[in-house]
Amino acid sequence: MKTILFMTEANNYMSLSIKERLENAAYNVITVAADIDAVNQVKEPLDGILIFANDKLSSQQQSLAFLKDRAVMEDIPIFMVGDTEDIKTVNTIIPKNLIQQEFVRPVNVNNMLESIDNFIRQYNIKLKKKILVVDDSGTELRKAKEWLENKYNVFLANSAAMAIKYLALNRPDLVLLDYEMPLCNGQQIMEMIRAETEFSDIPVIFLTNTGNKDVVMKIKELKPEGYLLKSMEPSQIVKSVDAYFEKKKENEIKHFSNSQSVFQRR
Amino acid sequence: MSVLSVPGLRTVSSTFFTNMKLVHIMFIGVMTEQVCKIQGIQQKIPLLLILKAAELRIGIRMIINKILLPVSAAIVAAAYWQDQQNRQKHKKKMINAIKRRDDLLQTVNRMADMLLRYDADDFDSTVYQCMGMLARAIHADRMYLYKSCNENEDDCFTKLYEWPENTRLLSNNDSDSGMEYVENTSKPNKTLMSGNSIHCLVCNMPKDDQERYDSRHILAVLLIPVFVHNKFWGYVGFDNCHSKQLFAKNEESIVLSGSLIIANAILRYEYVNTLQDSAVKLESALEEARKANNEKSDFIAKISHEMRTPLNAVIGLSELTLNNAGIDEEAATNLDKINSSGTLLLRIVNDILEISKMKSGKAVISPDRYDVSGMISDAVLQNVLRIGSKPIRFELNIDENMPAYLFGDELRIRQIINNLLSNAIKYTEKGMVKLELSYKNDEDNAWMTITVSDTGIGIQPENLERLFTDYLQFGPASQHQTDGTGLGLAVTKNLVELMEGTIRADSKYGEGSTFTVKLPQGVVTDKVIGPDAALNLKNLKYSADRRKQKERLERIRIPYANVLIVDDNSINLKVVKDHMKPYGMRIDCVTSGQAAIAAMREEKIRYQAIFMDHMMPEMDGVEAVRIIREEIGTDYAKTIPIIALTANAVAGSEEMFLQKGFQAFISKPINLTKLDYIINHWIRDKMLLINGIDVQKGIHYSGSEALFISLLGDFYNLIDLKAAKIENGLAEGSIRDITIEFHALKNTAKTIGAEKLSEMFTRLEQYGNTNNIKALESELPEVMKEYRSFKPVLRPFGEVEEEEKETASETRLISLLNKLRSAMGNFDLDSADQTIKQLGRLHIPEPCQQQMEALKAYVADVDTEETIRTTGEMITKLIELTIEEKRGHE
Repeated sequence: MKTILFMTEANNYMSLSIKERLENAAYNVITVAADIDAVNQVKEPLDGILIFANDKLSSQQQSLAFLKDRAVMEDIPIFMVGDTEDIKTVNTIIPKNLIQQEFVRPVNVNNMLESIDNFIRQYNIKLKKKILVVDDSGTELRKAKEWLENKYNVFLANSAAMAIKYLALNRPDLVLLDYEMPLCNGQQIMEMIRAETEFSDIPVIFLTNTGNKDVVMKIKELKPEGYLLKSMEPSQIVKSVDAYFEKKKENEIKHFSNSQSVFQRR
Repeated sequence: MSVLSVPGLRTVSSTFFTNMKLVHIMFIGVMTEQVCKIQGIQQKIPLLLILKAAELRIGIRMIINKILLPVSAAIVAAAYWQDQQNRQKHKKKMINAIKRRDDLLQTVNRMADMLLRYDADDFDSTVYQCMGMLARAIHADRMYLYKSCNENEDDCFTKLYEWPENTRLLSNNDSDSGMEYVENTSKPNKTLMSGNSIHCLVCNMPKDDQERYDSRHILAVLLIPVFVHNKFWGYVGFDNCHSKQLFAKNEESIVLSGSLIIANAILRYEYVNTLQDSAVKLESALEEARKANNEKSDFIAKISHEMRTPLNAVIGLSELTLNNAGIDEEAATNLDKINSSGTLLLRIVNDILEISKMKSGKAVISPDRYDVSGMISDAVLQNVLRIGSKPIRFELNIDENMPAYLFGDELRIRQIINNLLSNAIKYTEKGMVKLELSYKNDEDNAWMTITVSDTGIGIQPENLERLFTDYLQFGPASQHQTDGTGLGLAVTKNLVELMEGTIRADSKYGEGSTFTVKLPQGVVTDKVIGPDAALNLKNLKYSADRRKQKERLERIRIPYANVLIVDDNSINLKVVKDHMKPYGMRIDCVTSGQAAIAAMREEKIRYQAIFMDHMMPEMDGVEAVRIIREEIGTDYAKTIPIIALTANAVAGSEEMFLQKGFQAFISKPINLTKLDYIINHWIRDKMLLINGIDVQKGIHYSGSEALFISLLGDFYNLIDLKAAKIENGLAEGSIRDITIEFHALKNTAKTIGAEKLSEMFTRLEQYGNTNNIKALESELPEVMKEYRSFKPVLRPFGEVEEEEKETASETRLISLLNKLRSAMGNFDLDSADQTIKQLGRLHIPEPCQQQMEALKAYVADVDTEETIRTTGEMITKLIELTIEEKRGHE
């Protein structure tokens, strides 16, 4: 579920309307006033920040500055809506180049939200790593999505067919594959993936119910990037995925710096 | 010698003297004298004889010897005999008279006896009997009793009784009797009225009166007046029709007393009757007064209840809105004023209720163990704010030997302190208000003394006495501000007396007042407050901390709970619902007991608790609870917690509600802390296991509460589909397929915390893996039953109720289905979920309903292929329907 921070001092109809529509579009909306403590308290990862500019808000320089810093650090897109004058005032604290989209009143709320939504989707796609989760149980898929989607873009496939379909059109950064799928089991899917040169280097991590030695041995033969036990705590699973990407990054840096040093030496 | 004075005899005697011896003459003379003495009339006879003898010149001797002497002797003898006879007669007469008098007296005695002992029913007959007895005793033919009545200033009489009983008691003036009887004879009237009785023969009466009596053959009459308290009341009369008999003087007095006895008995009877009548009238007047009083009390209670309901809305809603962040200052100030006015008004209503309850004797003390310092600080806190900006110093002194806990009615004691303190502050402009508490132990009672003193305007001595009566406020009109109604002291006094304590007021006008209350409390502990706590209280430190504690209310969300609120008043419903919103529960509202009962019967949704208004018009809360508990029959109905919402709460009602089948009660306006406690205790803590779902585990395995909720919905939506699939699969023998399902369901059940169900599916999976068809066939039905039992429990998570659904055009439905289709195709589960939710809120045309249910299941299972297939089918169907409709119109 995508999360938006909605900063507004006005408690008027428009603010409420915006909030409601965002929620209808499946966003989790966190409303805050321009109060530094309130802003500080928001710990959730944000997909976007929407600022409703009015004269009261403009005077709250500190909290605006705080928000700006966070957006820069965490790469969160900022959107703003308000009167021309008010927008100008806020711009003195948050420069225009940091604001992705500005909406001047009077504004059609639906259009505004659609625009914001589209932007965020695309933004996410650009920034976050894509993970494809394959499992025949809808519940397991949803669980995985819930655990991972804060940090990653998660796509779900409940059968081999759908998995292949996805792979045909998209290149995920990681595939989490359920080993014990009934119809076309994980092993077979793995083989299919490795068979295609296009997908063969896509990293795959198995998810399995059993810690059975034989099974483990079998899995290892297929050379996955790793395997995770489904019985692990959700947080553990997320950490393992994070760890995988971290390691990958490190390797890339190492590799890069090696090549760099090669340059430098020249 | 008188004899000798008779002239003839002189002549005779002179003749005799010449021829007689002296002795003879003397003898004759004496004889004659004797005879004359005895027989007055007959004195002539011996004279005649002597004269005759003289005429005949018979010799004296012969006369004397032969005639005179014997004759004289005979005469004397006769006279003596006569005399004896007369004496006898006289004696007899006397004896008779005495006997008669004796009889009379006895009669009167008996009469008196009878009259003393009469039976109320028999009074009349007793009177008649007595009258008869008396009349007969004096040989009267008639006896009557008349009562005087002064109508139109004419004296007239009413005949009350007459003997013989040829007429019954007449209460009205009777024409044939005494009215004219005495009316026209002024004489008896006046005589009677002056206290004399009339006692005479008719023939001796004046002519005109005689006629009256003659016509009725009355010969003699006796009329005796009767006086009551020196006032003429009436008279008693006797008629004698057969002899002209008059009563002797001494008899008359007895007759008089006899008649008076009867008269007085009648009087007494009348008095008694009058008294009884008065008593009855008093009784009914008293009854009416009591009834009126009760009606008044009921009226007051009812009015107060009516007033509490809108007050509840005013206070509750203003409070809730004040708690919303983001209202501007002006609105907040106004809301605050509204809230405090509402609170004040409620306080007045409560005061009125208290007084009326105490006056009708319905107020009760409900003692319990309480924390003394807590009570004091609560009471003080409530009041220190009242000081506001006045230059008043507040002092609190508490005896450090005061026990830490006592047994008494904390609520009421706080009320008393509250009343006294608010008065002290109100009537003091500057200076000091002091509250002191001390303690003294005597045997098994602890006496708590509460003293409130101030340096206010004081009370004038003449007002001191009237201080505790209702509705009075002393002091200049400017003092009669917002706080208080003047009822305070009356309530206080009543409360103190209800607790068997004492209260008194001392004051010096212009300098200040002191109120002293002494209350007996029960001892429960030896532990005392101690010097530290006493000092803390003195500095109001303890209280400040507690206050902070109370302010922060952290509400724990319970989104998986379902709650039913029952209240006939829609505003109240909203207020209660708003109070519960922060908990995130699903809240359903109904406006009648019947609706609640129906919901419990149908079990469409399983609720974790019911909040029920105590008093509703059609069927009140108590009755509804009774029916739910006793007539539905399911364990669910018997054990679901039902909490009473009442405007009428008074300490002590707790037992009443518990007895009537409620688990708890909460009074309006709702106290947030109490509500939090109730929700936590009766809903959250009990919900750790819903129908076998371990909520905590479920949240844990799911990873988050939000996901847990959403998974519950998915689980619900899949039940029908999966259960049918499994049952058909077994019937067709596709063991491998259903084993796959068991595997999945085993995991899913575990994820949502349904451990028992998960174990069942595990077992079935094993049977499936080992192809144990027999075991499958025997155990499957039970497992399916358990599986399906989750439907009513989880329904609210996966289903929107029909009533809440909206209608939509086919076009809109098609557009949504398309959206769903492409979302699933694009691996955009969020959009897909959102779209299926939207679809879930709409009415689906009948031909597509089954597919809709299936669609929900497919999306829950992230089954893209099936979703795409089904949406395709549904869209086709809808297009067909649209075309048919259009055709229909044409």
